[in-house]
Amino acid sequence: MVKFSMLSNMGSRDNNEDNIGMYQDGEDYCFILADGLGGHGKGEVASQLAVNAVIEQFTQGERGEDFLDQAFENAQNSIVARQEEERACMDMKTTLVVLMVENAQIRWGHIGDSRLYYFQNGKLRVRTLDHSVPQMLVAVGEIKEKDIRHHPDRNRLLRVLGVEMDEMKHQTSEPIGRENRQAFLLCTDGFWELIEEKKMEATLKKASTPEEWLQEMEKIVQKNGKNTNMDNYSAIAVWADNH
Amino acid sequence: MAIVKCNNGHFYDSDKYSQCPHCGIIDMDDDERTMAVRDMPFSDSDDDKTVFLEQMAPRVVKDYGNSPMGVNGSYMSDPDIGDKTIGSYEMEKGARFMVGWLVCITGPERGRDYRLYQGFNRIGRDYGMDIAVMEDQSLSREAACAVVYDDRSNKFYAVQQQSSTAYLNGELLAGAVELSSGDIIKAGQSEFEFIAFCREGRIWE
Repeated sequence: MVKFSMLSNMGSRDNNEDNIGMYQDGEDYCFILADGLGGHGKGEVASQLAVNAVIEQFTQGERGEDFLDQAFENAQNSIVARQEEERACMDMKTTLVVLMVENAQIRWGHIGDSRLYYFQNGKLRVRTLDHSVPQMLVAVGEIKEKDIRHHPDRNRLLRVLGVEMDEMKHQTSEPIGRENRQAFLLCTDGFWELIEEKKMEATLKKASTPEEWLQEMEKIVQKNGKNTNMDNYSAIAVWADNH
Repeated sequence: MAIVKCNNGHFYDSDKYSQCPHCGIIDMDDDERTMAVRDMPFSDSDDDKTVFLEQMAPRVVKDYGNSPMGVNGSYMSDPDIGDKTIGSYEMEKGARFMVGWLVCITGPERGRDYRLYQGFNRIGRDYGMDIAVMEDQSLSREAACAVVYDDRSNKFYAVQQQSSTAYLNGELLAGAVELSSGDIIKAGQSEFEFIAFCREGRIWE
């Protein structure tokens, strides 16, 4: 049984460059989240293209072992093609997170600093690592995880779609099995920067639906972001039980 | 199969469903349309805080989810890196305007170009540098020297950085010296030729 809830909000900005999407095909679900970056409004185009490319891959392509790799590559190609049409090379980039919930397994992939969190039985188990400067600093032991949110370089990304690359730079997870009480949270940095993991767990515990969980988390995000120039924020909550 | 997207971000097959199967009746909007992949609305906003670091060396470890990064030594914090004052162009437009280039003509990164932007462009070995020349082991990690573009005067300067030696056209760089296209900056083992984009008659408004 799979339940989900999605939100995307422009925060204090003039437009929303985040894009989210989902598709259900029988027992198989695909959830997608992208945070566009680049000047002159092209970020929105990039994130939209990425989401659409993954949907296209999901609905028309094979869903084999390398589905995620193909989806990311499809998204990259789609953005590059549009850049060439418009000569907008600098400005059309995006992060991307894709979650696949299938009959027998769940898997995901990401690039950039949009995140996927995996909770099992209410406890945080896995979080994707950001392709960003502060995350690298954590990896070499210079700063702590908890410093990422306030780090001055937190918006400096090392890997995104839409830049020239000889080979794909996204990361994919090992598939995990279906179990009871699995919860996933996909979110852009506008969201996770304003809520701590402890609060995600606490609200998860109390919520009886993914909608409720997202709503409670959004309240915290709104509260923490009050009177600041809030970035676009988006989140997708997915709850899965083992049938 | 005709894939449509509803306003809530749900995609579905409109051959199978007359309305979005995921939205309750209450949430239904009349405004559904087939989303052609190529057919995107644009937006005017220039507001872009997140930036992609282009100067990252190609040899980044592929999956640092599991293993620590192979970065030389420890990261020394330079107060200037963390606290970048935003130049006038960025404040107004939110986008970075490029003003010139350095091209590496000698040294481990020979053949590579680096973009110069308005304000300070610090050259050093550290990955956090504006001009990161990570392959040159003789180059100092932090600013060996800097190239500065001043939009008010439309001029470029090579600026000596504290306790670092660099050379401009063969002479030891001291203080700030105006640059013209063709000038050669040497730091560590590397030499860079400076090419201006902004010049008389070419200035960003």
